Amino acid sequence: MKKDVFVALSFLIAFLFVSYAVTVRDVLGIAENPLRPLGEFYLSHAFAHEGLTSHSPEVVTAIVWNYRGFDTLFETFVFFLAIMGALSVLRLTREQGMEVRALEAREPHRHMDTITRTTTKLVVVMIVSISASIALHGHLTPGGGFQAGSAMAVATLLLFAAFSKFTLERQGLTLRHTISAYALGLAIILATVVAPVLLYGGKVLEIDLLPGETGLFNLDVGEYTAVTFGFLTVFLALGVPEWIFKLVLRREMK
Amino acid sequence: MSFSGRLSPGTFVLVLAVYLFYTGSVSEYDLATGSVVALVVSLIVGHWIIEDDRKAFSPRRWFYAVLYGLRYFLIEETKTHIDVAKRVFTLRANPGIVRVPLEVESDYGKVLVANSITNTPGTIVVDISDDGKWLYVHWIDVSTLDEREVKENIVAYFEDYARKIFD
Repeated sequence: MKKDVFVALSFLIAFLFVSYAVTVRDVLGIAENPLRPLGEFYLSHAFAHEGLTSHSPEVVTAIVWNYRGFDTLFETFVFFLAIMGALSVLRLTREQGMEVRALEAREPHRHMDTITRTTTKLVVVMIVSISASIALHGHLTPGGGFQAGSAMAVATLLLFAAFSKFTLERQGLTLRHTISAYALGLAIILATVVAPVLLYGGKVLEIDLLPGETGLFNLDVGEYTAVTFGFLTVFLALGVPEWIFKLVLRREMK
Repeated sequence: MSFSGRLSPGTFVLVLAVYLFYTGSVSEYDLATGSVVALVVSLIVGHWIIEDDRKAFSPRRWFYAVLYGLRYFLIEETKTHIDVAKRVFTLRANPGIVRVPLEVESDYGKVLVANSITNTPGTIVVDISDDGKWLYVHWIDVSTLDEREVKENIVAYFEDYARKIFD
């Protein structure tokens, strides 16, 4: 107990000391540093009325999806490969899937008490609204598709914990639906990435050719959908109780 | 969670309000996208979170809710904070778990009462019975075991307001 207090206090003092040194005494010399040419270029070009521009007052989103768009695009592909890898490791045939569902239905139905469930209901709906605002406002204020998708994934995890994975699946949120929605998100991203080539004869990912902010908006919405349902797909696949999974796979061995 | 397909205006307003509050601006773009999001969400969840929309739009209930918020945070919180602060220095405590009967019917009412009890220093709701009629409360000063007196001491006026707001 005493040790905990000592550790907490020393962390607090160290934090206060470092922040005092960096902000007030300016030890690192941040305050005198002028804006570098690259930073100035980003700030003046992300939202300009003429010339090359990303049409976005949110410079971070502009950099993520426009200046270093390929990086983000390939990150999305890496995420895609990770999910496909998880799915192919945890794949089940149709018969095995039905067997798993039957075994899950026989599990004793466990749910949390009224207080937790009622609060979770309200909180989940609010998180969904907030995540949508992070995604749809991503090209105007700090935010973006990936962050919004992660927030949305948290909402579904709360539902898993307070109700159960089985409850959600019974309401129609099955692996097939989430994979379809994930594919839809990826399709939006790919369509937006290829659109400048097909419509305006530009290059891949040259989204500033698209009218106004549609490029960034589409990419944010696509990433939001892809990340949300990508995470959900993995959660649903991993949410099968281990003993059920092993039971079904062991039968396959015999 | 039921995909009733019926739109709940209360849910719509809740989602739109949270959306606008979080974006922090009320431009045409925000209203349009917010409405679309609110429409989709309220169509999906239906009457899952708001069963009776007339209750959600009743000015009388909102009036009691605001009144309760003010009274709870300004008076009850202060009183119990002072009480527990005194106990910290005098080490005068007689902790134990007591059972409190609940009369409020709706789930939200129960949550309001339970969270109000937990939020006041000195009392914590440990569990709620499966039929939702009893709260098990850890109390810093078990001065009585009589159910009626226990209730008067712990629940105070929370339940009257919970019934006026949610039942």
